[in-house]
Amino acid sequence: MKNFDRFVSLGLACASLMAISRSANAYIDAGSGSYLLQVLLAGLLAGAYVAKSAILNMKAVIVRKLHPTKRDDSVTHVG
Amino acid sequence: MSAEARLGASFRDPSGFVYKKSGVLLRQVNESYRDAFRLLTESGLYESLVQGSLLIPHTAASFDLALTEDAAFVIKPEIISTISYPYEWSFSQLKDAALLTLQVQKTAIQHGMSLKDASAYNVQFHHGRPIFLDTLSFEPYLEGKPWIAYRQFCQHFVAPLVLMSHVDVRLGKLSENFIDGIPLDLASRISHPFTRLNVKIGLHLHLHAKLQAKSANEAPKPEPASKFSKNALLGLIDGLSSLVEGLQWKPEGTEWADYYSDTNYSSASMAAKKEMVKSCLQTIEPAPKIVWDLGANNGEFSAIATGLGIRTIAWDIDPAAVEKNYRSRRDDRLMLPLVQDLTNPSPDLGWGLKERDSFIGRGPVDAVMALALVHHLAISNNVPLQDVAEFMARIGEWLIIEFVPKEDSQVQRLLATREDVFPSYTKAGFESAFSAHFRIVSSENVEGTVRTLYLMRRIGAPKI
Repeated sequence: MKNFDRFVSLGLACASLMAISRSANAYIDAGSGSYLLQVLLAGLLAGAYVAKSAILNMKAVIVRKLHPTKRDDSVTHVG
Repeated sequence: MSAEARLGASFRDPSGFVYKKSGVLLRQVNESYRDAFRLLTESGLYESLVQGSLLIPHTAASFDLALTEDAAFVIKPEIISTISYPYEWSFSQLKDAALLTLQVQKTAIQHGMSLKDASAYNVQFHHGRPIFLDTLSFEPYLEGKPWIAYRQFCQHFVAPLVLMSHVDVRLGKLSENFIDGIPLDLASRISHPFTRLNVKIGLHLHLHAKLQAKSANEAPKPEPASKFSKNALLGLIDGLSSLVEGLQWKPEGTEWADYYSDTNYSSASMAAKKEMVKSCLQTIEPAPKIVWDLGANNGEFSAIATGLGIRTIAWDIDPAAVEKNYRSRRDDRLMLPLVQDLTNPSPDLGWGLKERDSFIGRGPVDAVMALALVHHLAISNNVPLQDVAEFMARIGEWLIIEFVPKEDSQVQRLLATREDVFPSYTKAGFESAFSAHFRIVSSENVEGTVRTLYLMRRIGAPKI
């Protein structure tokens, strides 16, 4: 529990810094808790997205091989 | 600056504002937003969003129409005919608005930009579909930066949708009390305990609420910032889309959702009434451009108006009836179903009571339909007929209204469990009350029933 609290505190510090370094166009309060959650989840979100994109791309390749004339619109390009 | 010209809701974002000049709706882009506005066009984002019917199109307007000295550009957006608010939307309308916002954000990221806000008020219904309104909501995307509008998206969309889906659909009305979305701690506390077992809801609502509460008491400390990669941002948008798409609600079991299958109308009477309503609408000169159908239920009679090419707002108190109407008529570009309790209509809201217009403030309209409604107002809600007539005169010039007498089985049902304290609720009393505000153009018995359908025209100017 103590370790989790320390982790949260470190995350909060990161989030606060990121909140401070906003762009000139920002005008709403992002909320440091909301920033922290995104920072904490970053690896998980990126991993899930890359894995999902890879599966969809693989599926598209298989569909193209099996049905050369059929177009799969579900292809996702990882940014 | 003329405060009267700037729209009451357009003051938060320093990038610009919406205003009216000589009756024309314009949007000023301020100098501080010049570069971002250029990027919107030069990146191809504007074209991509407009082609996909995701963003309201605009044209360039004369710079002479600028309202203040810090103007960089002036644009003229396409007009939305009727403004509606999230607390008036059915479950699927709010869900579609949420998915639209996420789609806009995903498209923005692909073009090197990102949404800097994600308010549900940035979405309106246009030609039957949701569309994003705020052309100035985009900022250049900075790699490594989390989504600044994530909290707002969760408050405006995730919280109400989870509550509507997992607790009670009527909780959509909570948005009326919280102009910047439902606080996540409140939504977390009142949501169903089982939602904590759902990973996506657990993260975006419950854990999010917990971290918000914790961070509120922490002082900022300068430490190196972690990176939030573009893939993480796309994963966040993907996860939120999947959460929203997974939320379901079935419109059934409410008082009105099955009204037409539980009524005493024969199919012949129903068909006759539809013909009469159509005939009344065709009698109105000049032809109405917009009709409000009050107590529209699932929009069966509203569809007669849209069938005649008239834009129709189908208001009903029951979220299930509005949901059914929306789901079954998505292709009807002239229909807009909305939730509205006429006994307690949407008020003016927000800063200075000018951010969100009241129900009455969005009128008056060319014509109002009030079919099988008067007995609910006069008997279920004890509103005197004179007051009902005065209310109708405030919102419409023409009125197609059905009087349902005490002999009708529906009225008898209303009176079955209560004292009849309505001696003046008679056809003569109805005509007398409405004659104070309207001229009765025609009246006709609805075939096979004891009901009467009237076409009336307001006497004089609207009663504000």
